Amino acid sequence: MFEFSPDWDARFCYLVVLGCGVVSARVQVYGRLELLKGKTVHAWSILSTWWVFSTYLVIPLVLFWLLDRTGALQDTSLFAAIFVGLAYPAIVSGGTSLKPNAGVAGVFGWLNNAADNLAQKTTAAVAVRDRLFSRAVVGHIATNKDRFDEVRTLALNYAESPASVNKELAATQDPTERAQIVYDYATSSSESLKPLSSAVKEWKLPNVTSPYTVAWRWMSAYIVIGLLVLVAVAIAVFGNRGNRWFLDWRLQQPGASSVDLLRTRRSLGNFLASDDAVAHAMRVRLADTLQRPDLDMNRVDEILRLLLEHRGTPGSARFQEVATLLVDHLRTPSVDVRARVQHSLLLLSEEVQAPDDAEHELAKLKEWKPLTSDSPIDLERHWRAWRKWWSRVSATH
Amino acid sequence: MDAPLDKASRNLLRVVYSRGIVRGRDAKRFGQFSTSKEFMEALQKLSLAKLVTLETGLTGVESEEAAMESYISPLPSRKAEAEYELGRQD
Repeated sequence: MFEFSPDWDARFCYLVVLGCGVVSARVQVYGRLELLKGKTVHAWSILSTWWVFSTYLVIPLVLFWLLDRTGALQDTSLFAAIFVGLAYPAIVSGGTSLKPNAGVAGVFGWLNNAADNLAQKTTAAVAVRDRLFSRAVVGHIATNKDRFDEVRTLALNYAESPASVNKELAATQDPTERAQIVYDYATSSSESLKPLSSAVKEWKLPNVTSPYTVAWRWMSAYIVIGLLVLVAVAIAVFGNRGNRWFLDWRLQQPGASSVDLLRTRRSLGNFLASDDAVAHAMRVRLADTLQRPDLDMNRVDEILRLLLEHRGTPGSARFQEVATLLVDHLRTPSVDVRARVQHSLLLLSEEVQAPDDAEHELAKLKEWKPLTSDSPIDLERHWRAWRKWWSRVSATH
Repeated sequence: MDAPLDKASRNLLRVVYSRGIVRGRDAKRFGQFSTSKEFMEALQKLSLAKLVTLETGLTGVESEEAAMESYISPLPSRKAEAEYELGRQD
C-alpha cells in the first residue's frame, strides 16, 4: 500500500508515529471534552485527563507494530507511519483498507466508552475547580476596590450588553453580590475564563492561581516526564546493547523491506568487522538466532552470510570463534539450518591447514549429509567430531 | 412520540448545549428567564428528562440558592436528543 514511501529506520518511523499520535490524542481528548467549552482548561489539571491522553498516545504505536506484525504494512515506511499516527481511529474502526484484527477494534470501542464516561465524571471535577476559583476571586474583588474596577472593566468589555451589567450593579449595594455580578459578566463571553485568568495572574494572589497556570504546570510536568521517558528509551534502543538487539530483531523480521534488510546488513557488518567484545556478543547473538524454529530460510542465509563475510583471516581468533559457534549450532532442530551450517563449516575447513592425520577425519565429516532421519545420538556424534577436528586445527595455529 | 419540551426548557437547553458547563445563575441570565421560578422549573424538567446533569455541591436544587449555585452540564451521550429537541418547532 505504501510502496512509494521513503524507507526509514524503523526507530525513526516509530518516533514519527509518536509525533503524529500527540496531535491525534489531543484531537481525541478535546473531542471528548468539547461539551465543556470555555471551562475545558480546568480538565487539563485533572490526572484522569492525562491518563486518557497517554492511552490515546500509546494506541497508534501498538497499532503500528501490530499492523507490521500482521504484514499489513512495513514499519520502515515513512508514509505508513504518518498515516497510522494521524488516522488510527479510522483504521481501528475499519474505515480504511488497512484491517487490524477484531480484537483491536474491540479494545478501541472499550476505550471510547471509557473516555466518554470519564468526560462525564470530569464535569463534576471541573465544576468543583470552577467553583473554588470563582469563590476565591469574588472574595478578593469584593474587598479590593481597584481589583473590582479592573474586573468591572472586563465585564463591560466582554458582556453582550454592558447596560445589563450596570443595571444589575445598580440594583444592589452588597459588595459580594456586586463582585459576583462583575465576575459573571467578565467570564460570560466565548473567551470564558481567559481574560480574567490573565488579570488574576498579574495580581499574584497567594491563594488564587489562574486555571491556565495550573493547566500549564500539569502540561509542563507531563512534557518533562514524557521527554525523560523518551530519552531513556532512546538510550536503551540506540545504545550498544539496544542497537544489537534492534539489529537482530530487524534481521528476524519476516516482512522487512529489501532496503531495510540492506541497512541492517550494513550496520551488522560494521559491528562484526572487529574483534572487540561487542563484535563477539553480536556474533553469539546472531548464531543463537539460528536456533529459532520459525526463522525464515532467507534469514538463515543472511546470518550465515554475515558470519562468513566477517570471519577474519584463516587461523585468526575471529575465524576460530566463528567456526566454534557454527559447530555448536549444528545442534539446531531444523535440518535445513543444519545442512547450511554443515556447508559453512566445510567452507571454513577448506581455508585452514589441517594436520595430516586430521585429513581422514575431515573426509568423513564431508560425507555427512544432514537428514531429518538423523537421530539425536547421530547428531551428537557429528557435533563431537567437528568439535574435535576444530580443536586440533586451532592447536596447530 | 413524546410531547415537545416547553419553550422555557428548550431555552435553557440551548444555553447549556451552546455554552458547555454553566452555572445556574449564568444560565438564568443568558436564558433571560424573567423569574427564578420559571428557571427552576425548566431546570427540573431537563434534569428529569436526563438531558443535562447537575453538579449542585448541595443535596438538591429545591432552593433558589442551590439552583443558582449549581453547575449544569450537557451530556455527551444525550447530545443527539438535545439537538432533536432544539430542532422541534414551538
